[in-house]
Amino acid sequence: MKTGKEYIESLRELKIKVYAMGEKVENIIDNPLLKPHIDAVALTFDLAHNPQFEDLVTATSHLTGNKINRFTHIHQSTEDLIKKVKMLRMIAQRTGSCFQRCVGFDALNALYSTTYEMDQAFGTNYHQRFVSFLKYVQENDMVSAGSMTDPKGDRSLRPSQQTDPDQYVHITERNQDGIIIRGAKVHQTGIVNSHEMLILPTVAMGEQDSDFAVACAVPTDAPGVIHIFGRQTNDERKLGGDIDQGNAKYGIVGGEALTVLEDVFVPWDRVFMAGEYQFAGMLVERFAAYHRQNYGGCKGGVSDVIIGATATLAEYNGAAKASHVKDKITEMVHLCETLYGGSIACSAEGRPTKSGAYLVDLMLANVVKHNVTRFIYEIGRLAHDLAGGLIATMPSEKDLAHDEIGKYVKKYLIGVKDIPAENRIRIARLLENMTGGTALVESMHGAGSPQSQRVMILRQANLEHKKKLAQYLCGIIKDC
Amino acid sequence: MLIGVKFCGNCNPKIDSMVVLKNIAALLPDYHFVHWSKARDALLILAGCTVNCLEVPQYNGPIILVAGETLDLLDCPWENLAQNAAITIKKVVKKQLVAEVD
Repeated sequence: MKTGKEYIESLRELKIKVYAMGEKVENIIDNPLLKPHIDAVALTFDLAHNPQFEDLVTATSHLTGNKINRFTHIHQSTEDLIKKVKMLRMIAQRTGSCFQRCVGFDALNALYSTTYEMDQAFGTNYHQRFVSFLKYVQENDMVSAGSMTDPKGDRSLRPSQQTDPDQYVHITERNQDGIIIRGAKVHQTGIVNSHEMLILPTVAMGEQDSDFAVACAVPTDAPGVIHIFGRQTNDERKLGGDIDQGNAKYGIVGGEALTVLEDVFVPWDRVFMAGEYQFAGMLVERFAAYHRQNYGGCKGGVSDVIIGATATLAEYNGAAKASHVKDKITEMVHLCETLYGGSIACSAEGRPTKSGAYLVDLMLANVVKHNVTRFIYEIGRLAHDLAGGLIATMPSEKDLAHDEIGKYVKKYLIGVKDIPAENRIRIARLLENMTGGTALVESMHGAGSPQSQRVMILRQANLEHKKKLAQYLCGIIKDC
Repeated sequence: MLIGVKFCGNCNPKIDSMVVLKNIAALLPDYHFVHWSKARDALLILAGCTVNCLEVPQYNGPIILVAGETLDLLDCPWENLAQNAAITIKKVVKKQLVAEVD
């Protein structure tokens, strides 16, 4: 297993093409816009070597029997699924931010079971290829980005109906060596500091969409791959100072990018779906379910930090003993634990697939993510309520350190007398970082927008059973 | 004495396992606390909460379980945890030695 330092060094070897703020990034490791995200991923490596955390962050490979980082593991039991959630919560408590590595983790697991079932149906050998790739990922402790979301163009049209076919990644050529793909993937979490990208289809496909039913592994620095790093709320604060960043060490969310694929060659041994449109839906559904499972874990951990910051600020304000403050903190904890409970539940109710890998309960996984689209906003709202307007109006850290006016900032931004103004500003900036702008939108749309969960919830709802229950009790039918 | 230590992943630490271990080690200066894979005389499990979800390794010797504010499944307040755990470790290791001699 790599250490965080070894992971960072491994990134130096990549010839990755990244643009940010209109400029080509020559050194991704030391770029201040990217560094916090890299450090967050590095922690997922370091924790695997720490005896205090290894029980969650490591697993035993079912392929080799070796100890591996859990982020490269295929779930072999419901216990594995539960440990994933606990691991995510624990790491998020330490980063206060996305650590990105779950997306590739979920893509590996979705591909494992789907390629197995695809081979059973069609006699293909995708699973064997995928297992070879998986061994490579496990043995080298690689970071894989989960590259699912296509730009999608006109949402009312199928992939094959788009005026510009590049709105969905598709195969433009097949030859004896491999395939050539073209298109783009959006919202690519952690991709600029990943070794590999796992391309997956973004929607269920019909026969006419078969060229768009493609899954494969592509190095992030393969010829034709271009990453355009996304902006985040207050990202220019990363260019200087640390207090105003709120979380200078790990930043905000996952460092997403738009990744362009300009006629990228993929050799056959890295192709895991090429036209089998019948299984695109299964791949999408399983990836989405695994990814939605995560959110009560990672957002639970992030919420733990938000709650801690809110309670700290209430103490600094001298308001911690007020009954309404305690009540609102209680509500925040309740919301956080409800999210966590959903993730644990969908894991405990997981089931084996034909491949032997375990899959979460689809209904409960979608429910927990759907709750995240609401509860994180409410947790943020309560944090803002208790924090006061301070988090939106504070002077900068340059003012705090200023020779002439710094004394005024220190004098008038103090709360209770024993706590220096700088501490109050630091905790307020952390709350600002974690409860506004990009951080909230990620909770809404990460792992799929709310409507995509509602579709799945209704599909899994067994409404006919519910109708029968009602009809039986009121005497419309005799048996239930 | 070599006591193996296994921590849970600490996603919900109701107790600070590291502090417990440091306090136990201070009370038992003749005992060495090592990674669980090197346990010889006993295995000490330190779980942050009572869920105790960690994977207990296969181990044939005595196992002492601290999980949240419990010691071997009995309630034990934080302030007594390290001391009582140290007493238990001494007791089980002694018992083990006697059993080996017999």
